[in-house]
Amino acid sequence: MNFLSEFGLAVVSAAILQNVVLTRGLGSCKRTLTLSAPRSILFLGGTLTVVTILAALIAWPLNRLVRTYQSQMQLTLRYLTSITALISICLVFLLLYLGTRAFAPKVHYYLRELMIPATFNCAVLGSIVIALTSGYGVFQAAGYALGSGIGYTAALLLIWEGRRRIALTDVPRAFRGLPILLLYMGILSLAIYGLIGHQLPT
Amino acid sequence: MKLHARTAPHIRHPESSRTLMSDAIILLLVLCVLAFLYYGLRALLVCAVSVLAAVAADLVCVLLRGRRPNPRDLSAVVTGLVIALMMPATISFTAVATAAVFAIAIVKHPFGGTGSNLFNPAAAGFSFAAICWPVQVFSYPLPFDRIPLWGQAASSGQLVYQAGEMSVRLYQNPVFVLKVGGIPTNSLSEMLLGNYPGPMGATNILVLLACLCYLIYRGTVRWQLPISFLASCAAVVLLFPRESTDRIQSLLYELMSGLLLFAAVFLLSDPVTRPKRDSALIVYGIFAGIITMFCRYSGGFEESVTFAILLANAVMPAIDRHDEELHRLLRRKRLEFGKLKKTQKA
Amino acid sequence: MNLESLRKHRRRSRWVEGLFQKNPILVCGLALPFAIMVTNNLKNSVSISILMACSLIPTVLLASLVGHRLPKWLSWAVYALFSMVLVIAFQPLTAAVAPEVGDSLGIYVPILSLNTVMFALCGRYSQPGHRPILALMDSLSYSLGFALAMCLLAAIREFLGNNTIWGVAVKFPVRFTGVQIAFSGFILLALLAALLQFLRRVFLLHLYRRDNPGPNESA
Repeated sequence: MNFLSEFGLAVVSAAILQNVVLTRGLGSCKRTLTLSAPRSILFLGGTLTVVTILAALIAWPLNRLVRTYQSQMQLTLRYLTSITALISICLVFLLLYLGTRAFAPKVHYYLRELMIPATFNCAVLGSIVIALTSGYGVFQAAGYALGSGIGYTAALLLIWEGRRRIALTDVPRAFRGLPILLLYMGILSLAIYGLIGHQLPT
Repeated sequence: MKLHARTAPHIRHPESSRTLMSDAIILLLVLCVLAFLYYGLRALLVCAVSVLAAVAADLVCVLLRGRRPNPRDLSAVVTGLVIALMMPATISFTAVATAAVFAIAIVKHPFGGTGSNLFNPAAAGFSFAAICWPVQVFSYPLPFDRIPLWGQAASSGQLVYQAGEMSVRLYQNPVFVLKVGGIPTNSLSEMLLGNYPGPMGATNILVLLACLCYLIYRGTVRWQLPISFLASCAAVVLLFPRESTDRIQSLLYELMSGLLLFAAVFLLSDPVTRPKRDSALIVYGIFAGIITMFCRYSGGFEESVTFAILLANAVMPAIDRHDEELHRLLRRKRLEFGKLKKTQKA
Repeated sequence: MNLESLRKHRRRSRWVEGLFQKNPILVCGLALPFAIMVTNNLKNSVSISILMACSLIPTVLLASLVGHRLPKWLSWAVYALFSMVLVIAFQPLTAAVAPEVGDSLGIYVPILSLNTVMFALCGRYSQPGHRPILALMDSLSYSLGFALAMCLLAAIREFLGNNTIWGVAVKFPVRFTGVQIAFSGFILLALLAALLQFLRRVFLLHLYRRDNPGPNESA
C-alpha cells in the first residue's frame, strides 16, 4: 500500500506539478510542437514513455553501482549520474531499435522514424536525472518516468488543441507560427505555476 | 434573384458584444460604488488607473496592428474594471497598471483581440500581478479605514500600508486562514455584507449574488455555468474538507471567501472563453470547479481561482469540440431511429 | 522584384544563416529548454552559450567527417555520447565566468548533450556530399546565433526581474519578480520571435520597394 501511494505520488507530481514541457520547457522544439495529428503525438509520447521507464529501470541500479564504486575509489568526477543516465538511454535505444529490427519488422517499420526524436530528447534525460538525483527508490523512479512521459504527451495534446483553436482566429501577422505557440505555452505555464507556487529544483 | 456577398455574422440578434459588455459594466460600476463606500477615494483611483491602463494598451495594440480603433468595443474597460475589483484597495498603482497592460497586450491582442482571445485576459493579468507582488496583492485593509491616496506598502515584512505619517494596518482574507488549516473567525452575516478584509469588489456576497441573478435574467450568463461551477466546488469541499469538524460551516467559508464567487460571476462566464452549448457549459463548470479546489488545496498561493480559470480555458476548445461531436452523433442516431420506425410502419 | 539581387543576397548570407535568418532559438525554435529556463541571468546564459559552442562545433565536424560511414542506428548514440564527454570536459570553463554558475545550472549542463540544434545540424551534415567547411561555418554561426538570442533574453529578464545586469545593480523603479520565472521565458521568447518576424517582413518589403518603385514614384 505504501509502495503504491509513493508510486502514485511520483506519477502525479511528475505529470502535473513538474510537467516536463510546461514547467521546464524540456523536450519542446518546433518539430515536436507542430506535430499535426493527435495520432502521431500519441505514438511519440507512448514511445517516449516506454523508453523513459526502461532507461530509468536500467539507470537506477547502474547509478547505485557507480556511486559505491566512486566512494571506494575516491573518484571525483561531476555529473556521473548524467553519464550513467545517458549510457542507459543509448542502451535502451540500441536494444529497442535492433531488437525490433530483428524480431518484429512490422513494429520496427512504425518505430523507425519516431525512435530518434523520442529517445534523444531532453525530456527523457532530464526526467531520469531528476529522478536519480532526488533520492527516489527504484519504484518511485519508474513512477516518475511514467508520470513525466504521461505529462509530456498530455502537454503536447493540449498544445495541439490550442493550435487548432488558434488556427481559427485572426492572429496578427508577426505572431503567426512559432511565436503564438510559445505565448500559448507561456500562459499555460503561468497557470501551472499557480499550482506550484515556488521555484522547482533544477 | 439578387444575392449579397457578406462576411460572417449572418444572424442578427439584439444581443451584441456591446450589450453584453455594457451589462457587465453596469454591475462592475455598482461594485465600484460599493468599494468607494467601503474604502474611500483610493478605491476609485485604483479602478481609474486600471481602466486607463487597459484602454491605453488596447488603443496602442489596435494601432500597432494597423486597424482603426472601434469606440463601440468596451471589452478593455471590462477587463480593467475586473482586474481593479479583484485587488485590495491598498494595491500600488504600478501593480494594477502592470496587470492591465499584461492582460491586454500579451493575453488579448496577440491571440487576435476582442472576440478571439483564448484565455481570459483579466484572469491572466491578475495572476501575473499575484506572482510578481504576492504580499501586496493578498493583504487587505479593513473596510471603513481611512486610506491615504498616495501611499505604498511598507517594504519590510509587516503588513502595513503607509503614506508619510499615516499608516494603515493590513489583514489577511479568510481564505488565508483556510489555507493554513484554521477556521475563520468572521461571522457569516458580516461576510454576507462584505464587512471583512478582502478584495475591493469580491467581499460583498449578497451584491454578487444579486449581480449573478441579474446577469442570468438578462441572458448574458447561462445559469448552467455558475451553478455547475459552484456545485462542483461545494461537492469537493463536502467530500474532502480541509477542516473536518464542521462540514457545512467550512463549506460556507470556502464558497464565500476569496475570489470564488466573483470569478464565477465575472471571469468564468466571459462570453469569449466559455464553450458554446449548454451541455458543454456544465462540463466546463464542473471541470473548472474541480481544478479550482485542487489549486486551492495544493497551490502555492492562497487564492488561485484565476490560475484554475486559465487552465480551464486551455481545455475549453476540447470540451467544445467533443460536445459538438456528441450532439452530432445523437442527432444522427435519432434520424436513423426515425427512419427505422418509418420503414417498419411501411 | 529583382530576383537576381535577392539570390545574390541569399548566396552571400548562406554562410552566416544561423545568426539571424535561421536563428536557432528565435526562428527555428530549437534548444528551447535553455532559452526558457537558463536565461534568468546573464552569467548563466553566457556560460551555457560557451558550453554550447564547445560541444556543438566538434560534434558537427565529427558528423560531417565520419557521419556517412556510421550506420544510422549507431550514429545518434555516438553523437550524444561524444557531446556529453565534451560538455563535461569543458564544464570547468564555466567557473571562469562565475564560480556559482555550476550549481545554479543544475541539470541543464548534462542536457546540453541532447540539444536539438546539434541533432538538426548533425542530421544535415551526416549525409555524404557535404563540404566540411560549410559544416564548420554553420556550427559557428548557429552557436553565435544561439549565444546572441540567449544573451538578449537574459539581459532583458535580469534587468526587469532583478534590476541587475551581470550582477551589478541598475536603478529602475519597478521590479517584476515574475519575469525571473519560467513562464516569462516563454512569453519573452514569443515577443522577441514576433519582433524578429516583423523586422524580417519589413526588410523584405523594403527590398521589394527599392527594386520596384511604384507608378507614382517613377513618374
